[in-house]
Amino acid sequence: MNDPWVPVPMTIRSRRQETSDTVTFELDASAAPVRFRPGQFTMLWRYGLGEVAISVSGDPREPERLVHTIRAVGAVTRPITQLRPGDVLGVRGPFGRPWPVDEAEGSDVVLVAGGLGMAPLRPAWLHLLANRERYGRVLLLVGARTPADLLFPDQLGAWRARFDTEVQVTVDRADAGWRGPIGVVTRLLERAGLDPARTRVMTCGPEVMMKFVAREALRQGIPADRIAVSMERNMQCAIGVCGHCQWGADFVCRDGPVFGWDRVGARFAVAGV
Amino acid sequence: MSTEEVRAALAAHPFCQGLPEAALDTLAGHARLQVLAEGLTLFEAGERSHASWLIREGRVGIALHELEVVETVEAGELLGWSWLIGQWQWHADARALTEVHAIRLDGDALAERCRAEPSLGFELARRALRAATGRLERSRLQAHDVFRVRGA
Amino acid sequence: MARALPITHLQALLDRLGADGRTVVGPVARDGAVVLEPVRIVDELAQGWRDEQAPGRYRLVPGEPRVFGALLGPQSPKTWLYPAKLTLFRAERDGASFRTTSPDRPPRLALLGLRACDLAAIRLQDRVLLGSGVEDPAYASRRREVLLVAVQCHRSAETCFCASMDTGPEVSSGYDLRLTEVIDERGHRLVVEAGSEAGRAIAADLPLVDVPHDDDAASRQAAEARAGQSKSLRTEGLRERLLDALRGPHWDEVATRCLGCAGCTMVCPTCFCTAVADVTDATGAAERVRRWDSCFHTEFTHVHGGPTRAELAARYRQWLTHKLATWHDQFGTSGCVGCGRCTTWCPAGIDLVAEAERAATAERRTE
Repeated sequence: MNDPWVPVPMTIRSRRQETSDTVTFELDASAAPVRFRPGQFTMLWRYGLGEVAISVSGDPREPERLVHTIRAVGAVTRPITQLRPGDVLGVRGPFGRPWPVDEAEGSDVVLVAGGLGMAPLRPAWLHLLANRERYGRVLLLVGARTPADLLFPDQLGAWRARFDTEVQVTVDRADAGWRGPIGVVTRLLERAGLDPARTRVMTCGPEVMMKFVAREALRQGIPADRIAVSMERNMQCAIGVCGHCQWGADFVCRDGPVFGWDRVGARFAVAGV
Repeated sequence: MSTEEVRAALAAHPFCQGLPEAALDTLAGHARLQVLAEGLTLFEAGERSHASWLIREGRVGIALHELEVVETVEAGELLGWSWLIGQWQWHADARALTEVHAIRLDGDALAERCRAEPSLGFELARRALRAATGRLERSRLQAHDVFRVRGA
Repeated sequence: MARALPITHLQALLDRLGADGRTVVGPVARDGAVVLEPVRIVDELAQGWRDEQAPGRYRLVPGEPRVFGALLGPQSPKTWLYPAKLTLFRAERDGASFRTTSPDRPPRLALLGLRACDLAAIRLQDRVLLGSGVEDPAYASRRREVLLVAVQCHRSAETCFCASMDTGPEVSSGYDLRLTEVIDERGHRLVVEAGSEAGRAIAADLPLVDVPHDDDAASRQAAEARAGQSKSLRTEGLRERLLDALRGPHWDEVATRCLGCAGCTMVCPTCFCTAVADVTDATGAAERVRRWDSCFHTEFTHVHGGPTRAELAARYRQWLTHKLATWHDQFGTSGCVGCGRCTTWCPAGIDLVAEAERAATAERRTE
């Protein structure tokens, strides 16, 4: 058996600056294809500096192209985002439980993304588009701080132009050039005209945002077990033994990062669990 | 524009969902359909408040300070409720960000009717309160500035 | 019929355990405490000492000439099976890429002088590190090779509450050899019983003598230890009571006494949290090094934007409710074996049993 602690070297094939502090890397995984499910994450190791958990943001149908979207916010993500094509990262994974895209077949599906939360949801969205006939309405509701903070703006535009999807974007603050909705992303959920009996919600973003999204979905009558959230915690081992990501009775790395609201909703009411 | 047309627009608007027929009739008597050009100012802070708009299409921006839009009000939603809660003055600016189709309610006349007909007043106030608490919750969420990158 | 090793032949046991290159680790008195260290000769063992324990207090005092007279020190089998510091792998640069090499082969161990609670702790660590999905290679390799030589407790410390956790004081399973140290008018000896094939093979090589009168020595001593155990944790419904008390008032109170030093988690034989960091040297070689970590450290839950458990009250609550409540959800059992180390070695003398009871019963609101 492979040692779960030891990373595999992979070469950066391309690098794309998404926003001022966020970068998308494509790694060459052709030697060791990474077959992942939407919502899973990997551990990325920058040699000699440290390791960090990052959601896969690429297309699950392309296991030889491992794509991550990384924001430079910490002691490891900052040096990682400085890497260039040809540089090498260590990769472990994929790890964790995926978005319930299989369970959602036959349903209307709403993805609600806030900020960098778009990255872990992108593979789920690509999966919905690739298997469009298996789903009812598919909606992508995106919230960002400002228009400049939007991830994948070109793709958002292309997806929005399709006739079989509904894509809405709102920002908290806008300059004069913005003509779209302004306000929090939950408002988009209020306006979506959902049929609670046949809708599944998957949301990723800051915890406060996900809490409000879940509250709005519940208010509309969507059952808690059809609302999924993706959690961020300090993850070091990714295999449920280092303890850092414990959250209630769960290890976020192993039992999550995607959870049903029926399982975790009560935890959002207690600070510091 | 016929009263029938106005009444149908009212009946189709989410704000009026569940209102008794008689109440719809009353509202129709004090409402008219409007098309507001992009860029048009609906009201400004400090002005006298004596109307509400039920947005049918388009987008209105609400600004509290120096024209910075903090929230947009869109199709299916209520814009303006000050007069309904007895405050006859606007506290924000509202401007059409796109062409807007709306039903304008006459606050002066409706306030009069609500006093005479408390059940109508209750129904309208309850709906306004729902819109206001929604705005309050969203403002709180917005105040968290949840997408701010900390420590970056 | 019971068989015993006359204490004068104790060296034979050490020698046999250490045969085929095994490191024998046993109780050694050092700096005023009994610790678990490699032993080659009998004289190195902590003979003639007795431990006195109370919340925040540990003393070694001269006692009977027992080899295993001191019950529990700050260390546990965790120290050897799940080392406090460990290299996960080494790496060196290879052009733009890198190459990894496995860590050194772990030592083959014989752990001598383990108590019933220590064996229970190993069973719990097995569930965490071997039985919950992915095996931890470092633990697995040590655990598979280790010989476990347990000693039956003849008394309890003031901080012991294993009886209420159903983990002791009888050494009942999970050992290769069980020793019961007897001192009476017939002499000083270790009653030896094998609990595994490996144990039987070792016992067969020892100069044992028949001791028909010692057939019930282990159960007699266990009964004495049980009778002398005054502390107990009320475990019935504890999980539910604690989880109902997450928003209770008690955590803030205990946080005024807790120093956040993490000592309890270091001495706890089942706490398994670790942190991993890179260590590099001047040649450019890198190591991934794993160290014990603690949920009491503020940085433990660091994510961008700060720790998710910034308050000490939240960290204490996490430790206690994980150990006594959510451990059940994760591993089907309590995470506490009742050894009392956390209480003895707490510099503030915080008593786990008392805190669990108070937290679970504190009133949160009036009706």
